[in-house]
Amino acid sequence: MTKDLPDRFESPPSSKTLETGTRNVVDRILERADTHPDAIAFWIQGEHLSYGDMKAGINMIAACLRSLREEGMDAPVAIIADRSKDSYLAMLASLMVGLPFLPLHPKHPASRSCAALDQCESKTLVAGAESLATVRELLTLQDHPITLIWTGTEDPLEGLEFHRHSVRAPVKPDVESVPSRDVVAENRVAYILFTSGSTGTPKGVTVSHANLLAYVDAITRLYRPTPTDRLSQVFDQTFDLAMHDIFVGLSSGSSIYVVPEREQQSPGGFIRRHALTFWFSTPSTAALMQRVGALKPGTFPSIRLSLFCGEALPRDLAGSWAVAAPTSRVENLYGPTEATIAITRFAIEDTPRHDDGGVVPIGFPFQCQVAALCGPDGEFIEAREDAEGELILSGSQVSLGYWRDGARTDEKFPTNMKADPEHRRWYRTGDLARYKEATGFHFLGRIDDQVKIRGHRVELAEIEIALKNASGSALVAAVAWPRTTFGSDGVVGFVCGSEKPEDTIRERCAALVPVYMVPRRVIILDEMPINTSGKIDRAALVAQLEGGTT
Amino acid sequence: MATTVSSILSQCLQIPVDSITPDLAINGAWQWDSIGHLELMMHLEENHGISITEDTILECSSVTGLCQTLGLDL
Repeated sequence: MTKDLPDRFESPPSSKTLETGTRNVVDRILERADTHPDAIAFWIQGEHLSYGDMKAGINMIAACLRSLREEGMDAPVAIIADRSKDSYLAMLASLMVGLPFLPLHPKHPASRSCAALDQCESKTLVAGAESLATVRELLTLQDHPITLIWTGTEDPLEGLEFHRHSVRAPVKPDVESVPSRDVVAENRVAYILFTSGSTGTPKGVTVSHANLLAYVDAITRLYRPTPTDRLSQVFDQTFDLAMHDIFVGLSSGSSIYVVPEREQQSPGGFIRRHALTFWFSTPSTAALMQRVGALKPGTFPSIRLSLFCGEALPRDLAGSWAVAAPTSRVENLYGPTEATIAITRFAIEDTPRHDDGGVVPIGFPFQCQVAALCGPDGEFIEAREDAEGELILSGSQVSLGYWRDGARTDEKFPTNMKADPEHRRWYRTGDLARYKEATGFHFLGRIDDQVKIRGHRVELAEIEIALKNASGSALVAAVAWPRTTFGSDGVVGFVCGSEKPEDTIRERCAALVPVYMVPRRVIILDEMPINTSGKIDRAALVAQLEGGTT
Repeated sequence: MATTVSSILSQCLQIPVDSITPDLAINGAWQWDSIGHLELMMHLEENHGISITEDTILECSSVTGLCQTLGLDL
């Protein structure tokens, strides 16, 4: 008989109730702008942006969005996610007026971005001069009319033929026309982030204002960021971990330092120059720094909090980081996009364990969030030492589901888990985990073919669809390779019976999928190994790579 | 041994030679991402005596920087 949901999986609620008075995370940010207009909100590309100037910029874009909404354009607002000043302002303006924002990576294939625009039926795009070429390429491909809120000076539509797009420039609104507060229900979608899909079509994870507020509240309670803190911002805005930097930082009145793209390979100098106090990155970034000898003892005296997420965190790497940042608390966070950024944590200051395979645990859920294990049929697994199963999550951070995909949402966000007397809504992560009483959950791997490549979630099936299109062959396979402690550094593609050379196939893949999904090698085979079940023998392909026979 | 920066980038990262311009830098071509850059640095360490350090990672992140660091033409 299945027991009631074990309460040891749930962190005990605090006696202090969550702040519920603010419905929109932007409210707190704007309050800060009113009380401390000269405080620094952002450092971007060598320039400071004060909270006051940030608010003025938000109001200009928000005025455009309100006007468009009155004309019936209330679909998600697409934003070119180029980490420019305007991209951050656009995100905040969208939230302010209650419209979801949809970040589009400027280096992703234009066809992929157009597909996201179509899926979301977005009719508004916000961009600036930094992304002129990307905008022109997108608008050339896009069939349905787009209103571009443009902050640049060059004509973005020059040279485009046979289009129905239009351009608007943000203007300073009349003081009287700016509402004191836009009324936004907490269950409104705040943002949509597309993740790799096993069918070849990326799926849009929808996160609500309430989800985001719950996360910000949890992090603020745990780590107490203050207005004197300087937070790193290294993640792409299409990566949900960027939402931590932006909304935790601004909600606390802190300053956000956007690490330039060129320095992301070696950010040590940037950390020291700007005396950053909060660091947040994937373990891969720290590993690269370790590789180049950048983690010297005491080299980051200013950092007081270091968080890592997105990949497995090796214990020795965490230890090296702790030596490099001797006054820093170092923690490992875990969480799928569907559970809003991160939902469990583990502090490495705890006594080193010898039974964790050299990998830092993902630990325990945040306050008022719930984690449990279930079997393949959705039955709860009893909480006991060394219990293993699929990790499932519940609580106020579990997102609304997938944009306009009820079937997939119902499948991954069940409300009818067996023996759950509270009929909670859960998210089935697809991650395998083991439970230990002292250290919480330990990540073991996946139950499917999803892999992590440098922190990015990738469905190998999506790469295989790209390989088929690129090679013209129906018999292809994608294997995560080389394997690392964190997951994988890339993918190797295998193609059978194609006459196209490797370079051509890779080039064509680059036009279909993001860079991190482009196979680093494509191996042309005369014959694809098939197992006794009649399926591609992936173990044999991995063996070929391990043996160096390809 | 490669005698131009173009030949190094072409050989190491398979970037087409005609795509290699003086203003090309990391992330400017899909082949030159973070992993590609590390592969490039390892190639430079093995073949051109460039030690991989925080400074050289940055110096070699552009065509211009590579020309200066290696003392080679484009």
